[in-house]
Amino acid sequence: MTNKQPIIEFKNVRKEFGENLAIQDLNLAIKPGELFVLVGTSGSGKTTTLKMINQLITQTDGDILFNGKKLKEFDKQSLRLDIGYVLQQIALFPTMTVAQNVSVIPDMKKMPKKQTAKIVDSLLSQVGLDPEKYRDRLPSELSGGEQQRIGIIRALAAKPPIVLFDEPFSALDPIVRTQLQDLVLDLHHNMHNTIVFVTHDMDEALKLGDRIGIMSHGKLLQVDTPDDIAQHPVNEFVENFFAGTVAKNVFETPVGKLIKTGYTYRKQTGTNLEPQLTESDTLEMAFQLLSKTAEVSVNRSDQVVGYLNRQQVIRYLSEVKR
Amino acid sequence: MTTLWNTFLDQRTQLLQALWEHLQISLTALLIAIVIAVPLAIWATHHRNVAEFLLQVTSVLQTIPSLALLGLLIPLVGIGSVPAIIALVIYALLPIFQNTYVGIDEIDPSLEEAADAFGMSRMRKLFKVEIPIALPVIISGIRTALVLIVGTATLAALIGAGGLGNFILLGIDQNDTSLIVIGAVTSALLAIILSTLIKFLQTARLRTVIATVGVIVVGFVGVSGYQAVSQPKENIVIAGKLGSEPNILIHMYKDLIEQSDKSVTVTLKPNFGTTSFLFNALKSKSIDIYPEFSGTVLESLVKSSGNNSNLSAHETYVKARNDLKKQYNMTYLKPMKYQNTFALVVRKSFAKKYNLKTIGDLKSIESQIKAGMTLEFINRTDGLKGINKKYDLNIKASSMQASLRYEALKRGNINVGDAYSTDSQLKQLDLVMLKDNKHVFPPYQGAPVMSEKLASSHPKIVAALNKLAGKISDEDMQKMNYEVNVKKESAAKVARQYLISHGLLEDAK
Repeated sequence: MTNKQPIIEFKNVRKEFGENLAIQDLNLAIKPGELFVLVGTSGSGKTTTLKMINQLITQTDGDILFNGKKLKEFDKQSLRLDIGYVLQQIALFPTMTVAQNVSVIPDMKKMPKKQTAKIVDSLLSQVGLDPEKYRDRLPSELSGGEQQRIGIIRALAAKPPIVLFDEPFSALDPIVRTQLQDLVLDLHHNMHNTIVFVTHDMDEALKLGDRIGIMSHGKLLQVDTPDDIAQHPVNEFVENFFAGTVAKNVFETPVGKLIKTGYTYRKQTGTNLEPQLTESDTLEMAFQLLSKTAEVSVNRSDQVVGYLNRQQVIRYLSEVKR
Repeated sequence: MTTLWNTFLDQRTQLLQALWEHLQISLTALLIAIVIAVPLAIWATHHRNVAEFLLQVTSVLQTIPSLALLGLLIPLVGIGSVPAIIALVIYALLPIFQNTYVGIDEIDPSLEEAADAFGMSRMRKLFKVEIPIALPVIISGIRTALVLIVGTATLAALIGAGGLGNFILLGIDQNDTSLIVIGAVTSALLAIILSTLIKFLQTARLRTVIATVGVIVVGFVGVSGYQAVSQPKENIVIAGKLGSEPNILIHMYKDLIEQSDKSVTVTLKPNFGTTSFLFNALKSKSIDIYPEFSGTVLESLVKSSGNNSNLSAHETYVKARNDLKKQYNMTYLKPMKYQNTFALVVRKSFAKKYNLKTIGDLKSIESQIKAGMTLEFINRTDGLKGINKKYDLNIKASSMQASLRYEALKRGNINVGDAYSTDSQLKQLDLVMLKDNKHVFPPYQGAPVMSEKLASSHPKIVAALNKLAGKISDEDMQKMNYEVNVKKESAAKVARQYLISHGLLEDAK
């Protein structure tokens, strides 16, 4: 991975909006094929950073490279055809049907109509929407969750090497949000594309990110795996940012989060006799099991991905700061 | 109700014609307004300051009273459908511009961002995203404009553009309520039907909208084209001023022209308007010929050098002819015999009693004069002002409308009045003209005026009209006016009788 050329690279990028300094001296390399999450509070500069990738916002200073070539040297419109974009406001074109919305970019890329129609149907099926039923509907006839599913596959339809997500789920209710997060992970695993995902929700970042960049006041504080961020925060801000996610509703926290953030451990030889949990099971269930046994295994598709004991759970809970 | 129905049956051909004219004017204006306002508004969405300015301008344009706007346009583009369409376009600009601008401006910015982020070009964004989203708002603006246009287009009749307004005007003129109702109801129905059609387009897809507009345009051009082709004969338009005399004259012109040149048809526009209105119409080629008086040419139409007073009738005519030719490239054909001029008139008994023959004779009875005259006559230098000066009189006249003045003469409320020398009332009321031996009143001889181009390319028309040269005496004209005004004969019939009896027209029957 490390030897590969970054697909996107920020070099000493600065952005000013009039008097305001939005981004100061940003250096960041995004690797091909990774799901990179930028997380931060509002005004941290995360969305600005994202929009500089497809040049909706142009940097004041510094260079951004796409596969080693400066963005300035690209024709903006053809560059954007290769960068998928999912918006927080979803922004489906209201006068177009579902199929027409999804076909927007394939049409601009002059893909044959038949092929586009096939892609549309297959993508609809992949996100759990029956093509027969949904193809010719108008966006206004869909629920919010359904609309954002279309928003996602619209960005994916032309198989762009990189897709940008700008807080896509923040306006959706928690259940739909969880479903769509799973969907993004699925699609990412199937398509092997690069995703840059912006959110203000650390939980979402921890769940989705291969790597996470934490931003505050125009600075990138730390870029690391979820595990490293939880275990080795570079400063108090990052530590607090993570701690904040622990604090909320401990009982419903999925066990998967503890795996991601490094609170589980591996064993050379498992006995396979421990009680088993899956990633999406909650800590509440873990508490019940751990009240009787010393450790439990956490499984992902019948594979043990880690073990959890009482000490680790207490350690996780102790991250809550007053 | 029966009268209404009968009038409707009576007028249905004319109604259809008027409806078609109305539709033509309205839709042409609408299409032009769309072509101007929509692209302008789209452009303005990227130039906010300009948009504000344009909104102001179009709002101001809309506040100009339509009647004033039509009037202002006459000196610029003449009369007929052109100024009517221009005025209607001006009215239609605001709603179309405003709605297009607002429709596009109010599109959710996130949709604009999405379109940009997907790599759409500005044109693609416009046609695939912005216009489809703004379409219902744009179309509702077009609908507002259309209803406005169809209603206002009734005023087009005032400047000779025809349409349903003709029915309303004619109805007012003839005090015929049925005509007014027919004109108004048809105009309202037209607005409702067209508005409904557009409402249907509002919910339709962009493609359907474009197709429908296309069909309308093609059908329109087709029908107009067919009409043009199916009218192989050249059409000469002859108009006349308000009143019986010009009406009789233009009917004579028509008969004479159609007798000698079979390749043309003549359309008459009687009671077309006042002097400057007709002259502008001729200049703008909305009409081809109209009868005019030599004196009027010198007084009101040409910029004449030198003194016009004390010219003989012939000198006046020659000067008018030369000036028209020099200044407007117009041909003034040979004049008829009669002279229509201003006159001071008294009742025959009154003239006898005081032995009045000339205007100068009034001096002796100045204290007994009770004069009633038209406002125009009182204020003209070749009217009362000139008379008082030249004849050393001090007549003070009360101003009254022309027909009231005759009524007052008849009743003896006044004893001196002004008149036109060919007015039928002179005969009817037994009035005597006082001789103007000091030539204050310019001698007015009538003759057809037309463009030089028409005259040189249609020698047959010139020859036909010249047959009237030196014909028709003052008495003849008075008699004919009397027959039309008092005996209610049709102008066409009176004109034809004269021509036949004087051997100018072969009796067809």
